[in-house]
Amino acid sequence: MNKKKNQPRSGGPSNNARARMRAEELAAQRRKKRLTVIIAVIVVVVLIVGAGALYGYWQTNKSVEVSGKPTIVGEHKQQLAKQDSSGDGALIWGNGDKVIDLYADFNCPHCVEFEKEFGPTFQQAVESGKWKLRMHYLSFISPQSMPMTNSAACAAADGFGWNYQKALFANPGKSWDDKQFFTLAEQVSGSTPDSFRSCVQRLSYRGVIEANTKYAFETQKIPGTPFLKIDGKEIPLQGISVKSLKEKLGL
Amino acid sequence: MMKWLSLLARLGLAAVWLSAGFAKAFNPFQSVQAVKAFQLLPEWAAQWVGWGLPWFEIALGLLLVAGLLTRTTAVVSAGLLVAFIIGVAAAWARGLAIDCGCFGGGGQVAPDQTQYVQELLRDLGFLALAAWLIWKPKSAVSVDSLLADPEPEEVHEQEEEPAALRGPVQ
Repeated sequence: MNKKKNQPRSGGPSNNARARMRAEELAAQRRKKRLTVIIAVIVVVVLIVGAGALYGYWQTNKSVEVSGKPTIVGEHKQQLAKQDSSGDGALIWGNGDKVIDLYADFNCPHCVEFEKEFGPTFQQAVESGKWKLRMHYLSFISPQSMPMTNSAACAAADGFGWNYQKALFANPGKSWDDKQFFTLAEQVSGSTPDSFRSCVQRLSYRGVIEANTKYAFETQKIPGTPFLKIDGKEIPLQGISVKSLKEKLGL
Repeated sequence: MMKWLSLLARLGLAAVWLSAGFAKAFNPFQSVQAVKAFQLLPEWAAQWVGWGLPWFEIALGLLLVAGLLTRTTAVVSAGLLVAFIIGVAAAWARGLAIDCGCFGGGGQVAPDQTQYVQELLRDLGFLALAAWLIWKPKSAVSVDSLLADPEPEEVHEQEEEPAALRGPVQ
């Protein structure tokens, strides 16, 4: 506002003409400045959107890793204990009398670490024949948890759940689509059964998993995941080691 | 006064875009599912829209927070909102049972859990904010106001007479 008043306007027509010329010059400068700003903004927006889209592409197309030769847990029985919505369902392995209850979400970072460190010990427990491992897969950390957990239940129903769940844990943070679940099933079991396909596509276990999750948090009041119970007794995971776990399991 | 109302509209719309964007940006899988649920785009297009759209919303939000190119951003916002409104209305008209996934989530829902009316009203509300900004893009505390020439053209023309009367003020 001040500059306006400072413009020399009191002179004659020549002064006016000069003022007009200057105004035109200013207008040209203004247009140039505006164009620069617009171009800069477009470039930045394109970069943001492009980088974001590539992030999505990368998240979705990260290659699936199945590490090593799949292990098969000997005598096992895989099922969702109760396929109604009572909520006390789990994937069960082993025929032992004594029970291990493990609660996890495929997208909980500590569960991934926990599985890495103690997975072999639990497998040993199942193979010893003394224990029954009840895996309570819950879905609450990420929207990805539901399709992942569902696909694990589908795999268990088709008899290759053990290796399949390991493979899911071995690819933390990956975005999954149905086709990649099929690929993973094939890598783990050698084929992708039609029953697995339709189970994945229909999210067949959604209701069961939702009920399990609700039951775990609201009825059993678990504080979070991972959460471990041996013979019904909560085991604090603070400072637990493979050695101390093996002692508890008598291995 | 108007400038402050425009600032409110700007920040309101910015909050909408940023929250909508961030809710989806780090869940590319979910975001793609939400776009696919509308059944409007071919598979490959739905994928790229699912991946890119959240970041575009974030970019719009950042521009609005800064108050940079406010009118242009408001026009683009309005366009996007109209596209969303058409998408939701089309889903409703075709009898799909989906959640718009506007703020995360999305995909199929039970037929009695659709919220088309709420979603449309909400989008119309956002559209009103954008319309306000198209009408009154000048707002307080904005980069636009810093960049703007202190002497806008219209004012220059109008000032001819009074300036002459007033004479130079040095």
